[in-house]
Amino acid sequence: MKTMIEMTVNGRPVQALAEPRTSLADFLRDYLNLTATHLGCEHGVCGACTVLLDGEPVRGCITLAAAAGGSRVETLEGFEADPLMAVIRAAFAEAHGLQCGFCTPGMLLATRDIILRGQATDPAAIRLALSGNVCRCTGYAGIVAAVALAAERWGAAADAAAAG
Amino acid sequence: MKPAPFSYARAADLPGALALFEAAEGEAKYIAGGQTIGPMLNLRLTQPDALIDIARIAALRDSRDEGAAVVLGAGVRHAEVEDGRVPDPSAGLMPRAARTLAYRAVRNRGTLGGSVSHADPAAEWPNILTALDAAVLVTGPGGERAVPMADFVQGYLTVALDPGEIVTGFRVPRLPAGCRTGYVKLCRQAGEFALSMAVCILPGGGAARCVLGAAGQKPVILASVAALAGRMTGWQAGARAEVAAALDEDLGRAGVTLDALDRRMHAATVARSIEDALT
Repeated sequence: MKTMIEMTVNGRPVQALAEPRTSLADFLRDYLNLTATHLGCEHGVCGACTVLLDGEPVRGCITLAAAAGGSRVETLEGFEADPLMAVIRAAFAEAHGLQCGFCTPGMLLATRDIILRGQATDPAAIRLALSGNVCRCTGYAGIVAAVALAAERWGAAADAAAAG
Repeated sequence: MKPAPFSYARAADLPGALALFEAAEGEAKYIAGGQTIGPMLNLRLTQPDALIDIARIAALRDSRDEGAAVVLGAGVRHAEVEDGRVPDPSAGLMPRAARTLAYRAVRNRGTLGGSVSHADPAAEWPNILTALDAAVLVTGPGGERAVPMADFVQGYLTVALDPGEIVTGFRVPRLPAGCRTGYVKLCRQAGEFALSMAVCILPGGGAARCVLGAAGQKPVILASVAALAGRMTGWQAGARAEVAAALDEDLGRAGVTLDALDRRMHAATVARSIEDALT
């Protein structure tokens, strides 16, 4: 039996009638047509389905849409105007942080969280913090370089803002 | 990779959750963070008829410092332990272990109660909370009770919960000032379940508590290893053979049989956990 699921997605109130077994990621893709969120392993290992739930990264594939009812959800589409995401996107493009792009939405959202929590301190820390996001193309070297580049630029921008 | 159909209801409070469980048709299961049952639903390893969501119950999020002990709500999420957003009775052991548990996106949702109720012997909280001698606080149709961790986990994925009962929290004794702790998790990829996990707590005065995870059907309390570790004043590489011999005694008592490679692996993590506590 379908149930009415309501939440706020990228700042917009949404509602849809869906089965309780619908994952948050499927809800976003199939009911709201927000297809930046990708489904890879569908059991919480690969991180392609990462979205923000009430401001924190979660696995969209093992979070039920019904359990997210009433919450605030942000997908990659919601970060068009986000200054940090602009820095991250540019760094991924410059440092070859992607090839096929399937894992990239999850990588970008995870990277933003890692930088904001101050965890992108060195390559080893970046690798550990990104260990929940699987990429089958790059071998990770480009991704780690991209995260380090973004963290460096974001830190420099923050320093300039503090000095200015 | 999609779950079988189920009904879903969200409980507002504990009495409401118990009532929903009682009223559910077929097999009902509680869900909190969903980070364990989520994959099992998607893989159809579990196919409940009804899910009762207890994640928003305020009573399960209640943590408090009682001085000699800290009560942690079952709904406390791993990331809250990691970040120090809840009181820490463990001299840093729990935050340290939280950082090794899966990935940040999982830690933002998964709960202490869910992890312990699932009772994977290779998971962090069953072993850490056994080593800390925590009590599991349970509420159910028959009322409230407290069960020591050592009795609560009965075997592989098997705990002392009666139908309808909910883990509401943990009472964790506070480690004394100056207590030293050691923790070693061995896994091939960061965030995986452990191949071996060893915990060593040295409160001083010759006392010690050592636990080994991922070796048996449940966390193994290592009495002989603890007696040995309690006598040590510093770590010496030569002690590894003694630790391995003591571990053999403990595993024999627990009825755990290992092949030569696993024995060597677990002996290494147990020795390293003592070294980690002593240095």
